Amino acid sequence: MKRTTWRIPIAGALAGGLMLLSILGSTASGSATAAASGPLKIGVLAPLTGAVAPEGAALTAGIKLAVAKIDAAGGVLGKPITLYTLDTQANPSLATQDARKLIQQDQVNVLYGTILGNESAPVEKLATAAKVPFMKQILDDYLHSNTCSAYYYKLGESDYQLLSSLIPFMIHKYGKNVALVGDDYSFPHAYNQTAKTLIARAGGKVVTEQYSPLGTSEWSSTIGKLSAAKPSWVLSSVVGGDAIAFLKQAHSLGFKPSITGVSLNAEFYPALGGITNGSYVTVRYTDQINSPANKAFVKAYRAANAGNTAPIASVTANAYTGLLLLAKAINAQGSLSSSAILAGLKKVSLSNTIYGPGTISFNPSNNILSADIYLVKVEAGNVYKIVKNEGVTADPTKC
Amino acid sequence: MHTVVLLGLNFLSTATVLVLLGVSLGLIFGQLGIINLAQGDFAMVGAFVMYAMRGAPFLAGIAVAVVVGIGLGLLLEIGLMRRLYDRGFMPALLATWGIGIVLRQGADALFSSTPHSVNAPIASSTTILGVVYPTYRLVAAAAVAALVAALLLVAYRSSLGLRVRASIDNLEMASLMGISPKRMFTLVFVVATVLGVLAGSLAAPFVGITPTLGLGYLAPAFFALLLGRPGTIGGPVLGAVLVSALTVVLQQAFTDTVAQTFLFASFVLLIVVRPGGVTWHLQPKLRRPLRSARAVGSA
Repeated sequence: MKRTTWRIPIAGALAGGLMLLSILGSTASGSATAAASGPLKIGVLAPLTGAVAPEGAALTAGIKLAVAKIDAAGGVLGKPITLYTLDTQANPSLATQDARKLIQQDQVNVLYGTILGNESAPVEKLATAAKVPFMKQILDDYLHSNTCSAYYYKLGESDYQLLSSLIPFMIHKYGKNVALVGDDYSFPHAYNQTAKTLIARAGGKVVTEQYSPLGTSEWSSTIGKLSAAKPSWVLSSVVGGDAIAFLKQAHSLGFKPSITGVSLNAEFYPALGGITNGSYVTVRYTDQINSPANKAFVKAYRAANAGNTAPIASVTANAYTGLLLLAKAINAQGSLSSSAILAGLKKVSLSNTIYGPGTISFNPSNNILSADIYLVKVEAGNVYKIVKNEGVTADPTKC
Repeated sequence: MHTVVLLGLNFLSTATVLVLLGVSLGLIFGQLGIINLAQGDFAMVGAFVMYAMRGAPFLAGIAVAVVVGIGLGLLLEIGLMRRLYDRGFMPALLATWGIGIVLRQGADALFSSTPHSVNAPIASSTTILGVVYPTYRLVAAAAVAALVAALLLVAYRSSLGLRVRASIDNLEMASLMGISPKRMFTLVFVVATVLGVLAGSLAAPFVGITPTLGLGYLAPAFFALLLGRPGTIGGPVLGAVLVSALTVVLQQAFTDTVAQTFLFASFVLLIVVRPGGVTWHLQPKLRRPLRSARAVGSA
């Protein structure tokens, strides 16, 4: 009996606390412009533990390098950047809570991060409602999962940017008959949707389209179906451990057609034992880019991450460049208000970046970063040798 | 003909892992009355052992996997499961669920969630009626067949096997006859753990090794257990063969996702129609040395 008497005050205290929080919350979002003179406060949402922890770590590695560089050059509006980093654990509801805390309690000027699409979607809605700019760094398909908020800036490569030069090249080199294979979740479907439009435009034909559930480790039957369709080449959006299983099994089952797509991402290379050597793929960033800015960046990265010889992830490069763009935009505007940041991001551009010689900027019609895209050949030792710079490619998504 | 050969070879690939996992699940369920939700994660441990031993000869890796399996089995049975047998079905089930989480997080902490892989010890391929098939997979399938044959031989034709089956069949009676249930529990749990670990070790060369590798194997292995009359040692072998055949045929006819939906739908249907599992006519013959009147499903 005694226990029940305890519950009432606790419940009451909780309810009171929640009311207080919601009052505080509304005051906080109402006074978002209070911190307009600095320092620049960035709320970082990174899945540092959980399913995509390596990507989360890659994200924060890029942020750290950018902050060091910006602060060394005088900071933003003359003050060093303040970071508030929270671990989303790749959990959408935790990412939402974290974003709310960063906006209301820490009163950050910009939200920066998230990896998974189901993390970024709720964060984007929250950021838009609170009128706080939100920048995402990992690749995505924007053509089919389009979110057009004026507060949402997309630093990641879009499927269209990667596929628009890859598909004509592959059709020219290997032939018109294309097989599509992917894991069965939203990203591969959107990726292939974009691919199909581009394949048709380049005069190719999709001979089969296969999806297997995420976590599939036995690919023999899918490989059999791909073989039966006699494709000239294969576009694969099989990812993670599945990508290793699929590529290794295709190789050992004597599957001959060349395979390209996101399954050839540099992060999967070490587990493949060289079986993808000689394949072609497109990337926006590789640590092989021979520009002075990239050489300096690679040197700083290797110094800060001693012992890590793995290729530098594109999300690291995007996180790094995104902050340089943000700092330049804010310094040009001279203010940290939301409207000033948005106006600055619309206009900002950088030349001779780690992506190469091209001038990078956000596409004003959809806030997607436009930058050089490279056709690369996979070579022994995880070298993604640049075959051709396809130039600055803009994503055509309309908002 | 080409399709038939292809189907047959795909069946071998699927059955290689499933037979071992089905048998090991069946052993634990039969002896301890526990559904071991960590059985797939034991396979994951086996795959990571092979990754950790990738510089050494393949058979050395397998030997280490067996030792790790024995250690893991002893640790879990003596350190944890033994304390839970008296508390009923649910605490034991939750404990195995927890073991699975700990193993996955442990693998994540040790090796990260980036996929890893190991090379097959035999790189060559064999052409069977025009179908190219990796020789290693044939060898792995043969190894599993030999292992299971040896297990069944011990179970049905040795005095140790007789004691294990007696203990599975009627624990109280067996203990009154001088068969220590404590020892039987430990023995069966350790053997089942080793078989689970070996399933992953043998599969390691053709999968992407990640901490979540084992999750995908679990549901089909349960299906195999239920399909092959739970509570017997040979039953899950038959169950695993049937599930593998069904999987391969469904995958040939439909897309993988639809095939999986049908597979699990038939699993659910089976549970509704035959909650105690399926008894096949073959069973009484196999079980001849020790018949019992125990009803199916009673613990």
